[in-house]
Amino acid sequence: MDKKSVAGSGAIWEKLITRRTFLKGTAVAGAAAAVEGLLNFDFLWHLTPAARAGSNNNDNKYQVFLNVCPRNCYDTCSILSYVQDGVLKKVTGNPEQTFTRGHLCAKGYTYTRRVYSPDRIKYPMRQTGGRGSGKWQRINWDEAMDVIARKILELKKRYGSTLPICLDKYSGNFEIMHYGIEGMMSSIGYTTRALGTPCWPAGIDAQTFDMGTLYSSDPEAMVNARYLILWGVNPAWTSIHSMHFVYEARKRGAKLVVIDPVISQTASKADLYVQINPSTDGALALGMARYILDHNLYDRDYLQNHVIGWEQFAAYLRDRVTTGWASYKTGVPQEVIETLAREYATAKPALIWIGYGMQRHTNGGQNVRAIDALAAITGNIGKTGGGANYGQLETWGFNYHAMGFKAPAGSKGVSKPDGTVSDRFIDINNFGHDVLAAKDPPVKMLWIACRNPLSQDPEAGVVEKAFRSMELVVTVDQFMNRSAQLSDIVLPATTQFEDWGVNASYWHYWVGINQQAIKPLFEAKSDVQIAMALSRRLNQLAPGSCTYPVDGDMQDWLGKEFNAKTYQMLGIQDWRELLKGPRKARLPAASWSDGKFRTPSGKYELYSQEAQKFGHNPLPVYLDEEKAPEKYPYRLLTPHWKLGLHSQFQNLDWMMSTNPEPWLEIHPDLAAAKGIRDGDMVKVFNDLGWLIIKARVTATVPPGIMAAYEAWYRDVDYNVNYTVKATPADMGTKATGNPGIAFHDNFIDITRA
Amino acid sequence: MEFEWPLVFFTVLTQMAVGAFIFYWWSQGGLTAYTAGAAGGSGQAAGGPSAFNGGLIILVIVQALALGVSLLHLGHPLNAYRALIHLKTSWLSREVLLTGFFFAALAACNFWAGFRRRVFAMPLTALLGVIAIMTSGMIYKLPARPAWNSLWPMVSFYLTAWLAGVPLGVLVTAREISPGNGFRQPVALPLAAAREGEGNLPAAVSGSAGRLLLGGIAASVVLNILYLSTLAAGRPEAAATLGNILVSPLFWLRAVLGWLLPGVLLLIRERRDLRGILLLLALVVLGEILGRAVFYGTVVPMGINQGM
Amino acid sequence: MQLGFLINTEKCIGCQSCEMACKNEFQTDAVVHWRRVYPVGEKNYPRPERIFMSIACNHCARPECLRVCPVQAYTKREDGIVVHNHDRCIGCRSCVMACPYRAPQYNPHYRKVEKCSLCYLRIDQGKKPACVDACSVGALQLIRLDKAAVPDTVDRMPGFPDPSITGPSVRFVPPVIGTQVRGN
Repeated sequence: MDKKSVAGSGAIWEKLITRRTFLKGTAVAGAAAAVEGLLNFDFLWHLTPAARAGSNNNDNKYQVFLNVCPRNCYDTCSILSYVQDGVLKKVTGNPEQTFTRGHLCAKGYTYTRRVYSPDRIKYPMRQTGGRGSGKWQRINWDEAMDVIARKILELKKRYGSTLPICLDKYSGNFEIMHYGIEGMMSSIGYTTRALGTPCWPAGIDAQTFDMGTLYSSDPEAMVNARYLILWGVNPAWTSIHSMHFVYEARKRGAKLVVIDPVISQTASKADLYVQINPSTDGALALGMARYILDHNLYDRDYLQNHVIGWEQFAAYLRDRVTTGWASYKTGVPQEVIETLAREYATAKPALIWIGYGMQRHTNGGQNVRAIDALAAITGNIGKTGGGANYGQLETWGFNYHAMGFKAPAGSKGVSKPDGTVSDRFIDINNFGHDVLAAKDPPVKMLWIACRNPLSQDPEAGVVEKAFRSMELVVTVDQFMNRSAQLSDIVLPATTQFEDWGVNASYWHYWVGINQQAIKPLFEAKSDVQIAMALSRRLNQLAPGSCTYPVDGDMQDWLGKEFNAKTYQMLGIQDWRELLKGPRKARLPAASWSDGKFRTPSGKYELYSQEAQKFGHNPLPVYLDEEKAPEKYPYRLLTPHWKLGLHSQFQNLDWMMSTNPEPWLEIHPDLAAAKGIRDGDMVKVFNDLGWLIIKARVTATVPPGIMAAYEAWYRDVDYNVNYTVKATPADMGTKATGNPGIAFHDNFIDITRA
Repeated sequence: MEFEWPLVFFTVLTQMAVGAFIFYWWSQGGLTAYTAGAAGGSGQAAGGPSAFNGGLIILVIVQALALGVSLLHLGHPLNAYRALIHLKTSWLSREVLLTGFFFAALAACNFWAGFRRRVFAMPLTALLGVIAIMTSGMIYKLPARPAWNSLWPMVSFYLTAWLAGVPLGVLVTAREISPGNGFRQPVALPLAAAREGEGNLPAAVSGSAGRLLLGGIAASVVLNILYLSTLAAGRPEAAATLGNILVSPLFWLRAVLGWLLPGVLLLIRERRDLRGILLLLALVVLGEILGRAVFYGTVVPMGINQGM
Repeated sequence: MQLGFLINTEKCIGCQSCEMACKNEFQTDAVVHWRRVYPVGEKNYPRPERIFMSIACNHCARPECLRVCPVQAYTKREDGIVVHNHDRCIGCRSCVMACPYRAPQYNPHYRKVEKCSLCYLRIDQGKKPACVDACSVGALQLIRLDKAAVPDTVDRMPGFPDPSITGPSVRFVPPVIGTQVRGN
């Protein structure tokens, strides 16, 4: 028995130890301490590493700061950052925030390794041996700004506008101050912008046609659901904190149904898992709707008061849809479709969570509309514990001050029919192609921020060609990722611990501040600071060429993002109140509970003229799914991975050590047919490209479908997008400017490598 | 695979030293000291070697080398002394202690001659050596390593003592016969002297050594086959270990170098010349080293999802 | 008194937050994993599922590490926590060989072994272990094992070494296999 045993006290102990043993323990500990004073064996009994690192265990030693994880993730965790002597020692979840409840995810817990990664870009650098040569030279910020400013001014002079300069920025960091880089671009004139979102646009448009915008209920209210359908979403990997609420709902009696082509981690936890042919979700929803129609299980009152287009929709269902047809399309047995429909329509409230993966198809938008329709006709919208939940941007009502700067007087851009002038927009989802295709003037300079197109875009080869055709490529990042490797200048970006900021979630209703917890590492700067530095140099070289401020305090900048509406929503008077802790927006637990939809009619639109305007059928109808061509008979799904977020995190040493290499999930039948054994290296390929990867034989994927998870592994040539074509999804143009990408209509063949 | 080279050399060298010592002790009369020699010393006792100048110096050097190499296994070799403090349950503590005792006794044998040496020091050293090997073998009797979780490690260690000990013991004995050549030529000169001056090694010694070695090889082969067949019937980890052994080129190399070649050499004719004995010694020791590397390198430990 | 872990494989989503929270708390080197999340083989269940067990040191009733360690680096506290004293360790790796769960791991950087301490310093302050604290679905809990059997739990899982060797202080809630409607 360890002489140093010390009985403890506190919360856990109250539960663990009866009072009697507790007292006994204290007595023993006291005696032990006395003995120890006499026999001091300190030379042998020094601190263990637990105790030494373990200063980490004594939270009094730290200054604790408030942060928010700014990644492109549902959960947007509230973080407590523990700092000692200016060093970030550890991070934990903030228990005050009731959605993440004091927990982070595996990625979040690696943040110290991200901040202090030896791989971080430390200084501005210039690639001297040509793009991709890997020959980098350290330069200082002044030199970097000088090179960039001169190129901007030279291009402006040569082409008469700043349109040859193109910004590609997206979701690498959703912290609001990062819109400063858009602001900087606006400040120099009209530029070329990558517009849209690769992630979720088809579904956004679908919900916009149906309800006016995407506005999901509070996910914490999921606990009230009596029936939960997680449809094409895998929160056990991509929104782990939601699982608590899912489990809680189940504990209270809800049935958990997961619909997915793959037996995902979430599917493994379901009461009922339904395997569906990819991209046929709309057929299932419509089949269910037909059953609901036939059996009078729809909500007559709700349809009468809040919905338009029910007659047309019902006619379409009667005319074109049967459960037998739905079964043929989806591969789900007819009786299962009928059971699902009956259970869903009769459980009140019943909730559907629509995933982003299931709308990454050429018919994704229509499929989401069909699922939305299920919620509408059963009157589940506007009810707490109900809804067709997809995401929300209600809590994002910031001023976007950092991006709100005007072009210098006399700037030339794209003239619009209404006489106004604007930036030139190209499709973020076909970026490489559009950059190469831009004419009059061509694109000559790229600025990449919060984005890694060479890893995340389809048709990587085309994107690379676009990069190589530039006169200057500037990338702002924390790591030397694929895009940075093909740049001329890289600029080191701060992490959320190194500067001020504010974050909202597109899922839950919490908003939190990012306090500066530590000084920027090395020479890293935030996007706003980079914008100010560049403005300074531009104005030195050509006064008036940039309207962006040249200095300013970051807290002042942050304060300017708030307005009366955000204050009211968060129940505060001043943004500094967020330094006490994150706040939850005062919104009804159930979205649309007032029945006032933001559609032209003010009602839920089963029949949407707006959809018609954008070239779609006004009704949620079934668009045939993309089928595998003869040459490439298998579908490769490339969903998100739990230890990475796009090309972030999986490269860190802690992640590489626990999961050193990617793999391909392949069904035993297909593996056997192809002579592939577990652990073999295989080659997946199509006309666009190929990928060599280790096979993992598992029946969690269906026979004709394989799965490989997108990630950027350090020093591994792995990119799931090598074979992905830039095929547009059906929707996205209305709300996000461009359609989405049918990432999951990715057809390949496979052999042993 | 972790071959644990420091442990390979430490264990093989120690076992070889123990085996050689026992052979030497036996060649010096062994337990007959108690029955015959109590009254009057033989000539050897009278003219015995001075301290650190006899054949035993070879074993002192071998054992010192073994102990030195063992430190390389440790993350912190300078703190090796601490390993003595857990005699209550740790076989490693016991091994360190016993191997230390054996080494001390071995060294002491160099100081003493005559009666004290024959009646007291030599039997004690032999006993300590035997116990040291036992403690060493017990270290590896671990439930977490099913392929080792038996008396096999100990048995195989005794086999090493037998096989490698005999030819080295011959050299030690040879030097004892013709001592006095200092530290620089611990083996070659005395042997040469033995061969040229007085003819070859006494036939009694070399003849029994040859038979002993041959017997050892036979025992080693038979017991190894028995052991491997128990692995096949054992827990999944043990069976997996067997698989590793059978596909290991080191194992087959060992079978040729350590068993087959010396066996054939011995069967062809008796070896009484320096070159012959050195060749046998080299082959047998190499075989044991390879065998020990296979021992460490092929074992499949228990673990989560291991051996499934 | 014996503290231990309750591993609820029904709830566990294999997210590895526990594993990384442990690394975060102690800022351990990349090569060592005091806690690891292991998949339970698909073939052990009637239907293909993704099932995990999160295993660290099991703070065994009869710790093999403690038995074999020649320098007495291991001690078992009154509350059953098996503590490894890093300063005593000489890096002989006997414990690494002896542990059926690969809990003690050799760190070449320090040239010593290290392992899970069940966050005894946090426990002494009344806090939960970092891994338990990090689990967002309550699949990992601290329990007392010295009393009667923990209800609705088992002491073994497929792939988990025979608990009779060391008496590991862990209990499992076995997974619940739901209904699957599959094409094949």
